[in-house]
Amino acid sequence: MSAEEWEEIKSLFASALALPAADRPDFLARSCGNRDHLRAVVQELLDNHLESGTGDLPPAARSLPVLGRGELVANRYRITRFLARGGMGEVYEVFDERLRCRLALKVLRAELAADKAALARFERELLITRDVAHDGLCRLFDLVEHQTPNGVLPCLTMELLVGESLADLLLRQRPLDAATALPWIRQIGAAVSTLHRRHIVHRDLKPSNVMLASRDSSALQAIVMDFGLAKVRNAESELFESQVNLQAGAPYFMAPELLRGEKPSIASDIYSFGLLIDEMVTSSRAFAADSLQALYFAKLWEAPTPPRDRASSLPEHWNQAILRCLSLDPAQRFATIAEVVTALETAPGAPRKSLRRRFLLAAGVAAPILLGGVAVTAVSGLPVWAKVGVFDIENEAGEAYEHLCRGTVVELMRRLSGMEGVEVLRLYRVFRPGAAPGQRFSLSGSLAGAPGNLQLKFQLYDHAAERVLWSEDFGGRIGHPTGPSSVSNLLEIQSEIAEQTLRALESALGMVLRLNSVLRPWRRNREFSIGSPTSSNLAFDHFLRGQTLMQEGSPASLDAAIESLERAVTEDPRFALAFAALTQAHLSALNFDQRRAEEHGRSAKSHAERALAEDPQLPEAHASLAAVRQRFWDWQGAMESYDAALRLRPRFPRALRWRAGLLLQFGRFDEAVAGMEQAHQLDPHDRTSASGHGLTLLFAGRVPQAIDLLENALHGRDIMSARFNLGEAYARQAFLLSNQFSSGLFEKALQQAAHIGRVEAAQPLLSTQLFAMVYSLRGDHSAARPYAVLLEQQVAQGAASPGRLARVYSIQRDLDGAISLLERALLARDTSLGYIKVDPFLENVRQHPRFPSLVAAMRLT
Amino acid sequence: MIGDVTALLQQLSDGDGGAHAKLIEILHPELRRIADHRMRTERSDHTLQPTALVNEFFLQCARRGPIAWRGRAHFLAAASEAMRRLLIDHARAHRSEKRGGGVLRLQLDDFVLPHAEPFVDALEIGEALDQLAAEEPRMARIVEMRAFGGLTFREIGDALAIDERTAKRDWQVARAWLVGRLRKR
Repeated sequence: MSAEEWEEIKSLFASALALPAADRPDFLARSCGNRDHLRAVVQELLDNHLESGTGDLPPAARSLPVLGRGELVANRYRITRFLARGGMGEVYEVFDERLRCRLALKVLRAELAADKAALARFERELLITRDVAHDGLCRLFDLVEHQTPNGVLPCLTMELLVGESLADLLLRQRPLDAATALPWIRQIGAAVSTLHRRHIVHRDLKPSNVMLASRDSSALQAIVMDFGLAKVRNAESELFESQVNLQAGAPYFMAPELLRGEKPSIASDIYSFGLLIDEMVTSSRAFAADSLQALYFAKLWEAPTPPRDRASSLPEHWNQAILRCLSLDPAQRFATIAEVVTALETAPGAPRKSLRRRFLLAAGVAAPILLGGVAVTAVSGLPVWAKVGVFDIENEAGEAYEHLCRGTVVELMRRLSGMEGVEVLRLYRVFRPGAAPGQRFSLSGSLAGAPGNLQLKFQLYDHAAERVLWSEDFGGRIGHPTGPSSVSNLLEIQSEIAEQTLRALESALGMVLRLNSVLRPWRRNREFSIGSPTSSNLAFDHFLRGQTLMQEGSPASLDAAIESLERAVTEDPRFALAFAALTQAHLSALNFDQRRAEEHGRSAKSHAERALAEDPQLPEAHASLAAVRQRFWDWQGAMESYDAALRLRPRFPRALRWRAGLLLQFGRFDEAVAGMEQAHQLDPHDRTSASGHGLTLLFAGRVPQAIDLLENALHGRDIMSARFNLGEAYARQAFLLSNQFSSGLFEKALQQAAHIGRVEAAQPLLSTQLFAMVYSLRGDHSAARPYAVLLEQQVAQGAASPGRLARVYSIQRDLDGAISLLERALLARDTSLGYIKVDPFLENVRQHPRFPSLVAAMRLT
Repeated sequence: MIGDVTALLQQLSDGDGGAHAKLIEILHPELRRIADHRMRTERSDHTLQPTALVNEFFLQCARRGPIAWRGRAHFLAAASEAMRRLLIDHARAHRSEKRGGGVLRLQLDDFVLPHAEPFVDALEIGEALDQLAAEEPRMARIVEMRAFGGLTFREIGDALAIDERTAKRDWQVARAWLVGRLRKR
């Protein structure tokens, strides 16, 4: 056959395929004329095409049900009909001959029945869920074994639900309007919440696992089924670890972190719940993908199409709530299913349900104490016109430029967040793009090359318009100094990036952005406002170095940070931002070294005052002074300074976080949690964001939430303070539960202590304390003893604060010992004393008759 | 590995043809690990579903770091080609050992043989593909991507810079031709 003939054959084949089968012979006869060999080849191809199918599964993949109608299972259950096939096995309707009633029977698939792990999972399904009774959950009855000639088939009997699945309903009728969907969502939410309260993660929440059925001829209700994949969280035993694989759980409804191989959590259920809601109220899917890989891609790295784009009549707060459920970062999602439902129920502007009262009842704590006369600034509810994600700069130029890259990001964020209506989020590369709900813009940059030939590129991307708004290569304009500064004109470049970004935002939004501070009308001139914090490039370089070192948080890096920042202010004595940073560095150092506490305290105070004197309009200066005041127990002064900082820059993560800590001291839990949450959202990767947020949840009595959050925060990186808080949270939960899960939780807490101990190596401070606390909570005082002794020595040497040991004594109910230590801490003006009214590990010593005078002395009343 | 892959994908998007070969070179050992694992766990008669292997591979890469969206089609195309070579080379190596009994059977996507036989012999499809590649190299690549990689026609079109309809038409011709060729044996 010649090449020309082959081309003709291909073309004839394609044309014939486009025709109805009946017309093809005529077409071929016409086209081929008397060239029979040509026609034969095309005809053969057409026959082959028909035979090779259209991609349907081969018949072998569809097997027949294993049990036939009328068959008697386990001498008791008569098969009435086949109902469905799921991942684990087949479900039949059966008649129970003994109790004379109809039931559903799930048979483990034969090939799985031989698999010990699958069998264990099947048994677990019953073990962990049969005690959980809720109207919205399918009832499970018994595990029975059916003897067949080929071996034993394990079966599970359960309630027979007569109705249709939510998936079936949606096939007929999609989308549902919000009012129709809400009652179903409430019922599903209540059922799943019940599981979560029992530490069970559903893991496979999707429309086909929700039955709309009526029980005892009452109204239709949503009933959640198939806990085949459920597992008990926090239980240490292998038995409860069902493996995550793609076959388990429908990939579309699975949370992205599960695709990455992380463990299922309440947060991953919340993600699936969000998609389930989305499926109900929209007419197409949030992630459009025509292959599995495309679906993974979309789920791992792309933002969902907002529900409102797929259902125009959907209320905006539904849109927002669904998007929040679908956050890539589990920590950004709602903390509980109940919060999701509340968010759907609460239209903006409508009065919110009092979370506080519900919470107080649950946690059993005293009424909140209000700070006398201190006005609380509302920080939420500000209009946001532009949500900008600032990504870390991709540094390929080497370690020597790390401080420059990190510092530039911090500095750009600082400048942009000074503008009214602009919310800035710090994001890391893995979250690209459109990581946070409503985040429309992304600012990202990269640094490559070598000294003398650096390339710095920046771009601003608009996810809504799907285009680059602005991009610039600063390569040719970088100044290459000979002195200690790594880039001699970085200040100008940063100013230009900030300026260009703002201009691009303004033209995209069609509005002029202004400085958000009402206090500085005379500085509305933007050139100044987003201008440089210093005029010296060298000072700025030292400052960026100092900031980066400070982020590392070790005692040695803090000393080095202080040195760098001192150089910065020597170079530019009017550098207010560097003075504010110095304050922060000294306050952090103070926590590490009790012996030099007084010295660090004094330095912190004088630097804060200097910062404020140099620039009274600098939010960082106010926040630093607030922290110093808090350190010296001037609570009211501290609150005033935080409020001043937040008036100047309402979305200031550090000020929000520290202020939340102050609110926590006074037992204002809801406000504290809200503040921490907001700070964590704005700056999700700060080391203290997660531990502060976790600690606040723990102290506020929301222990499971604290565990979830801290576990997630620790995924993939190690933060000592968060690890310590997680250990505390496990131990607290174990102590509160005191059931069969407690020993596992205590074990997990000890693992955290051991991990910290390995890192601390020669100076085991945090691990010693955690070991002592966990063993004491477990009631194992002899195991706690050696750690308590070590901690006593550390306190005697001034290496640890007496307050730390007081927690151990309080747990052990040595109340006299505990109160004496707290009184010693009071004399030393120990920082850790701030939380004595709310620290759950001090609950015993709070009964001591001398405790009220301690509180009075600290003016914590 | 992900860093190298990302760089190569970038070069591919920039039109560097040599990057494709390098990409396959990098992907090959990783895919091999997955395929070996599967072959060990399959024990008796090897029946492998190449698209499932590519999926698994893709997911493992995804866990290690993002792959730029624009490079996805190139990535999958390279993974499909590496998978095709790997399986067929394995089958050939096995035959030369002459121990018998070790036929590697593949379950290909969108590909049913005469008499509803769901499997093809890896050696037979290997030889048929070689022959196809000699005449119609593009069609052979399309078969690779579709049957070994599970790519959609749009993705195939992206990877080969042809339109989706052309990709589908070529696939239909190639499949019909291969079915005939395999039947004749």
